Amino acid sequence: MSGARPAWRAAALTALTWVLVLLTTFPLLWMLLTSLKPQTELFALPPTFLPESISFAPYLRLLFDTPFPRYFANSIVLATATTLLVVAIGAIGAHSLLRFSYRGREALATLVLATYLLPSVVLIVPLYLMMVEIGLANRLASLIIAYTSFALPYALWLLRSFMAAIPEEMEAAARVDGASRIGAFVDIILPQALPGIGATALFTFILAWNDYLYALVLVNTDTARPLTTGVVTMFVTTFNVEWSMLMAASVLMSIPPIILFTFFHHQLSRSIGAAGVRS
Amino acid sequence: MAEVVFDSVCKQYDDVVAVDALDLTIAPGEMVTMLGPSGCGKSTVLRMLAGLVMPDSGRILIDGNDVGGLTPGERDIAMVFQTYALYPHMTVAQNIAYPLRKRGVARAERMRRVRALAESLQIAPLLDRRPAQLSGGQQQRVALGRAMVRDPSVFLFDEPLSNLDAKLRAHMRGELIELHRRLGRTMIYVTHDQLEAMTMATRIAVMADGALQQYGTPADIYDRPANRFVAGFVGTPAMALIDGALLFQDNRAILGIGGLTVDLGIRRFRDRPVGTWQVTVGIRPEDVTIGNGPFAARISAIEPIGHETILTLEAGTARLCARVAGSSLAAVGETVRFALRQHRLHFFDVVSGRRIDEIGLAVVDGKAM
Repeated sequence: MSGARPAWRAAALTALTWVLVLLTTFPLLWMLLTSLKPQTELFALPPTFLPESISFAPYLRLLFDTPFPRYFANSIVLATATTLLVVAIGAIGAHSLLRFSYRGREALATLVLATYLLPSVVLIVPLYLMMVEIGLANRLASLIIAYTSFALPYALWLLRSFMAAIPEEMEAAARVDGASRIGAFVDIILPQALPGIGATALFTFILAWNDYLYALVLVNTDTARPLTTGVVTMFVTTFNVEWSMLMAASVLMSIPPIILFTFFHHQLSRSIGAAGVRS
Repeated sequence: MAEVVFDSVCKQYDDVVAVDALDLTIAPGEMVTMLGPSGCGKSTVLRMLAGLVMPDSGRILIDGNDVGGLTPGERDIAMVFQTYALYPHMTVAQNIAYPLRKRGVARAERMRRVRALAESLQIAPLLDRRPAQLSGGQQQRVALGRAMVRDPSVFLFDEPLSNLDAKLRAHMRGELIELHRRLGRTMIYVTHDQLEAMTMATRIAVMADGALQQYGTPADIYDRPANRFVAGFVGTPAMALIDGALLFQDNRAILGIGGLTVDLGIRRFRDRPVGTWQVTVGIRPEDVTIGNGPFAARISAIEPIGHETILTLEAGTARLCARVAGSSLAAVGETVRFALRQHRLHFFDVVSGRRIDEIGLAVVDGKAM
């Protein structure tokens, strides 16, 4: 890049950026505002932007009179367990697909991606029948397994491309220095693959946190229901949608992903950058 | 100090034979360079010795012990890599201490040894930095430190100087020679740079196409190359290799190369052969004397280097180089007279490429032997 951009271009870019930011944040803002409005104000004509009176009633009801806290806990357990599992298997698997030489290694790496060729809708019924067969239907474990199998291919490829950037000589050096293969992996490879691991973890967590379809089919009891299906079951019926409750639930649901993004956005943008440079 | 033995070691990658039945015994305390063009298998040899690559067959012994079943960490070796392979997320001190940590040396002792070593390598002020904050030469020293810290019996170097600039490389060559002298450890050094091989080694193993071509002292390699490959690979400018014929008549040997006829006169041959032998003749640039002599040649190129000048000569169909001290007043296209130092000529079998005084047809000449 040479020289400074002309001032009008900078201004135009800034304006465009703000338009995009507003477009994406407006629904979120509207969600927050709606959740604070009393029921009477929701359908007022003309609509009000800021609530005329702020009401925390939906939040209080949500937290104390509904199974929302249980669903929330289920989702946290679900997303965390899936993330840990995917990162652990993904990191070891990516290392194997990259550094160990065995027959059919590349074929295996490609085959892993084949999972992505099938839409979830096709997989979901056989998966449900399998879960029933092994007695895991209606349990959190069934969702953990489903999400893991779905997130793993992407995780493997993302981590593989991250680990490919770590020179092979470094691992060789660690082994000559006295580390076992696992030792070299833990001491040398993992710390350097941290940005990739962060990105993978974030991707997996969001995938498990946001999924609706698998949760709907595989789990049909309150004890194991995650937030996505739980909230809809509670507030959306054929005859009525409880908007302020729905919006309050949505606001609370957004908090964990927002916290994670705040911590990991640096890693995520690095990984997107890295993937872009490499492909 | 440790003896290193390769006993018919083979390694194949898919269809490519990387190392073909290597037999090599390296005496304790030697500084051996493995010299060869890229892809000749020299790095594979080093990696097999390190335990990073498993040989397909054959045995590797360190100090008489078969190390086949040992992990790299158990072999009492240290290795310096071309890229230095420093761990970027650790400080210099942590890098150097890593081998000790992996061997369970207590923290205080680790720190003491790292500090002492850093003093001797003059990198003490860098101990808290990360590798990315160091220059190439400093990284090189840290890599050396990490290799030296646990006092291994064998040091392995995989082209450790090729990422440095020319001046620093010359300096580090000197330091490595000094290091070898001081530690007296067996060191094996892989390089494709013959200057490094010649200056640093006590012995050189020349490799090509996965096979050991010659193992000997630098003087051996230079003065008595075992075959045409070694003759052509070692020496700058390269030895001229010219196909010709040796005619034996009345106990005299007449050499015909590219239209020149050289009467080797007093040369006697052990087998007293008769008839004509097809040979390749090797002539080093310093064995061509310009000025007067029985032959005439046209100068086709002049390369002044400063302290000497390399002349490329064309005599008949033969092309050879001559080394002249200082700068030359000759001009391209000029015809000069020259002579050959006959006792310094090298003969190779045309078919096998092997040096002729090592097979049946032995040249018996006091000076050449």
